[in-house]
Amino acid sequence: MRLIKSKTKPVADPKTPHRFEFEAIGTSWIIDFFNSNISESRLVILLDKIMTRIDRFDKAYSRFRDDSTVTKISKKPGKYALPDDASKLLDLYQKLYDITGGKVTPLIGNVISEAGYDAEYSLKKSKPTTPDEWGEVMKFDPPYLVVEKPVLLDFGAAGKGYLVDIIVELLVAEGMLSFCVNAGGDLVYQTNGVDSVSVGLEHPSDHSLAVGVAKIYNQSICGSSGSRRKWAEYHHIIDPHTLESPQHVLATWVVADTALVADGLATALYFVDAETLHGFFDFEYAMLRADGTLSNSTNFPAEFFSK
Amino acid sequence: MNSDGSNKNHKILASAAVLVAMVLIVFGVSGLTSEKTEGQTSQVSPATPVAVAAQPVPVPIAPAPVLSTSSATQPEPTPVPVVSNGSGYKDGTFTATGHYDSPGGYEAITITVSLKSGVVQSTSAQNGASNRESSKYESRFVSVYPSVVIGKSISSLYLDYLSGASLTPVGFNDAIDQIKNQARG
Repeated sequence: MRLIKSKTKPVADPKTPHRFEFEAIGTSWIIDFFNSNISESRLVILLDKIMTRIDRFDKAYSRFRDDSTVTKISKKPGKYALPDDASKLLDLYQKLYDITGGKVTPLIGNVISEAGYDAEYSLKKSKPTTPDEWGEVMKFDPPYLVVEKPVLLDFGAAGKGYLVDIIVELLVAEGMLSFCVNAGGDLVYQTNGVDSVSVGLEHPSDHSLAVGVAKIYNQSICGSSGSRRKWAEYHHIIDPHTLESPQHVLATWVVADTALVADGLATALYFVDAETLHGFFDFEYAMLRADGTLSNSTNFPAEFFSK
Repeated sequence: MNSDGSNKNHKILASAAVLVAMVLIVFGVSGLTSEKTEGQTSQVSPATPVAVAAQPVPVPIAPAPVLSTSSATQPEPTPVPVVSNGSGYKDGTFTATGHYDSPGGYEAITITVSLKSGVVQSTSAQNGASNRESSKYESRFVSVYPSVVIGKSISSLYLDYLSGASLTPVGFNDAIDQIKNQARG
């Protein structure tokens, strides 16, 4: 599928104007630059900046590395400095935490890990327990996270979207006008032109199929589906109160202005309905349920295929 | 706008690869072994019981024939016709090692697939990650549940991107490609 030669000199596909593909934060990234006169050498410098920024994110939030802030927090209480732009991420989490009654929570790390999806990928279930209330164990005082007791945090619900937005900001600051940043199917497409991009909405059970095609134009689309990270009775989303993975929803997609919001809401939709979320966010959504039915908001920009 | 040519091939391979990858369910990574005995129909048994979940009849994808899964609770899917056993793939056990680059360095994963009449009998994967961090990225645990299919074949669509589930690491697909080449009859 994709090959990456090295971290700083990724393969640029000659058939596509300026495409870079690489692996990072456990997923496959594609960054496309359209209609650009940018030189190859400048692109390489740009990409180096991107990889550096991704690594900074990874060092803060990854529960899979020994040297990350999150891993340190899981071992010892204290006051930890997060990157300067952590406010956006923590603010969204706080909002979703309140709206979902605590079901979307960064404190889900212990639950997922105890269910088996731990740093060693052991898939061995120990004893998942409901995590503490946010307010009882930690407080965000930008840029510090003050933690009262060791907790394993996991920012999977919105972290990838957040990182995509960070990279988008980086590219805009560098003067790029038309590009797509795609992290494993969570993407932002921006352009100063007229073309939209066609995004296939992957069927969660059969990945050779698409349930529909979305047209994305200067916005983000993020998808959430348990199909590729699934073990025993769990998938990547676990309800912290029931300690089970919701089975009624197979896949969700959200279109919003930012990937942070799209990603976070794609998860939140497993726990609360769209009407509730529409009271707080601007977004369009589509949801494939376990009974095979698909529902979507009126202006979700996609065409769907029925049997 | 970028061209779709290479995307289509990538998607075809990715789809075929994922179908095989769907049986790669590891419940405890340690203890898995791989065997290299081309031409024999020997079985590779996983270290711990593996739940091979049911899957709907796979959609054939041109040009690469599709490797389909089988389980005790499902009827055998129709093999793709071509070679002496009718499948286009030799019987046997095939091992391949896929490589990929990760933030932690150049990593490897070894996959063994046992085929009979083009149908995967069993698989196992060995985590070859030299870097402890990378081994987190290698292990993917995928299961398939029956569902109403309301989809169109991706290979028939013009798409710029796919969205739905984070993609499996490169290493798997690399190894699966090699296995398909070894097995092609």
